[in-house]
Amino acid sequence: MAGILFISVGIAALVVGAGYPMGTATRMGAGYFPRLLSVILVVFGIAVALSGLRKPPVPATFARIVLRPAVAVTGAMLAFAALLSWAGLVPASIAVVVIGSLGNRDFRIGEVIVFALVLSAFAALLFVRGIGLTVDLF
Amino acid sequence: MELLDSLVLGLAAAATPVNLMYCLAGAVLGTLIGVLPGIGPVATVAMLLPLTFKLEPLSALIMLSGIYYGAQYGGSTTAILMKLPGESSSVVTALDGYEMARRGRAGPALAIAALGSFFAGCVATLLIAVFARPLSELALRFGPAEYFALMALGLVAAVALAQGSIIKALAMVVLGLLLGMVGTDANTGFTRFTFGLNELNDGIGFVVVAMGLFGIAEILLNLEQRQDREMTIPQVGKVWPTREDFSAAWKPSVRGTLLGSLLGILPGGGAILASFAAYTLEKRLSGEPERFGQGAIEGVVAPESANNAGAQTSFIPLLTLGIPSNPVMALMAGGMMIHGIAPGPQVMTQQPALFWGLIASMWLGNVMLVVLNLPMVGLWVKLLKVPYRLLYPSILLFCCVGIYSMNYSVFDVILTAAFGLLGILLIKLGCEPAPLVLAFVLGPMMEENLRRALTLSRGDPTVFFTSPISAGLLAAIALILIASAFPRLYRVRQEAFKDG
Repeated sequence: MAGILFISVGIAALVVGAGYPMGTATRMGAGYFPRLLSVILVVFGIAVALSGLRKPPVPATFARIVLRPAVAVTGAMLAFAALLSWAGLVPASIAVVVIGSLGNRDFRIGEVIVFALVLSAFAALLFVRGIGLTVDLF
Repeated sequence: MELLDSLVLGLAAAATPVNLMYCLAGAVLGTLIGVLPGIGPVATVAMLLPLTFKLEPLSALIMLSGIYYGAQYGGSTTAILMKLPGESSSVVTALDGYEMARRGRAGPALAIAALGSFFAGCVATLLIAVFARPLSELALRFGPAEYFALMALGLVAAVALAQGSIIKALAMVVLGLLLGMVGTDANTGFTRFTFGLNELNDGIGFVVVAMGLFGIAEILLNLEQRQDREMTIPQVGKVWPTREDFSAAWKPSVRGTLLGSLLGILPGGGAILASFAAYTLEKRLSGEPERFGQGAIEGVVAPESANNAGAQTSFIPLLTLGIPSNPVMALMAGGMMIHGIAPGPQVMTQQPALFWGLIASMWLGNVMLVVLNLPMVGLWVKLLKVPYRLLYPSILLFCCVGIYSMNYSVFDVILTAAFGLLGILLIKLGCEPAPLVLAFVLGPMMEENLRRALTLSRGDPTVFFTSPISAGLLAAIALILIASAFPRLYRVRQEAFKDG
């Protein structure tokens, strides 16, 4: 699995970087080093994949990614990014805390709302008052 | 006594009220995150880096380094009291420390861990002071070929010392180097791998990478695994160790310090490896290895000394050669660059107050930690009662605001989320993120030096072998690669990590 990841990234880098000027070893172009690295990455990827094949498959150790926290945390960060510019720091902070908390199986709505309010007020005080971050609060 | 003069200069710079305050803040914060499992020094330094913009460079560095070695102190507290290592570098401390606590000797275990750390901190500070000058003088003679070879050595050593599969770690290094290529090429102005996104023209921020791969991924991992467990905290009891404790502990402490100092200097080393290696060493040397795991005081003091020594000496390659040896140091390098200081041999000559002030602050910080740590144990333990369901949204929020404030870029926040997902994926695939982050930081520097070296030699690649320093470094790389391919050494390596 890891091997496949490395191989595909390596090939993708080769394809994307295909048009970059190579230059010569003396006057190296922008594409020289990346091309070198891409090739090495593909080679290592193949090696990883081969060594993975040689061993008996170990399905037990490969745990799949649990979806709930991944979605909640990523969603919280995306919401922050989306809300910050047009709604301001306080709504964005509340969104992070509330959406992020959804990643927890033990989600308590009342507690989360209170906590989100407290934290966003704290963040506003610390970052805007304390450190002078120039961002709209609302 | 040039060394003494320098240290006095450093003390004068570090002992101003403002800097003392930041030193204390860093040390306390470090202890705090050391106590709390689920947030490590990498994520904390990454989170706080943006907040140090407005500080004096010295104050900023003092605080950030305090977090790193403070975490080594804090990690031991919960390891001993609850068998809950707050930091991965305290995993082995938990083995014997918790046994001591269960036998009613929590107090002496905590005290000896703190004293051992303190001793190690003092020695390591002195080592930095002694070795800094000769090393940076050597580094000033380095040309591009030597630098390229040195960085390659650093990366290979990081691979050899990483946990798990070597070939995967090598691939992670190359992946990191490639990620470092994103953005505008410094030599030709050509933009690479930006996919037409203007936000990527300046490259990917290293804080974005570090915070994503360590901070966010760590949160995701914790959320998957976490079950809030009941905590019973043993009585701390009498604190002061007995005379027998001291006589049993001082030799392991010295050995741990030396081993830790050595492993800290090595690229890829640092606190975690140092503590594991010191524990294994003591177990080997001991006449009664069966006592280990049953509350042997050697098993507490050696790794605690080693991890603190390693945490501090890992500053040596950064400050003298400009090469970070682990992810925390990579962030420190970033912290220096934010303030317009290029880490490397010239820091000592051009900014002596900054250089020696940072070193002196480490000693001051260690004094503060040993004084603070024991009386405050009760407070730290109470902090553990903060449930993770409240802790992690706070961390998440701080990460978001922190990243945004680096460049006022919403795009960076999104990118960090993506790296968080990549991080958890890589962890699941058994690939350690540390080599990738190191390579990411070194990538652009390596390319630059490779180009310069080959331009100077008119494209002749033998330049790397004809320069004696470069050839020596390349030989070391070959040695490491051959050695790590050997099964016997591989087994020793496995064993060193297995004890956790």
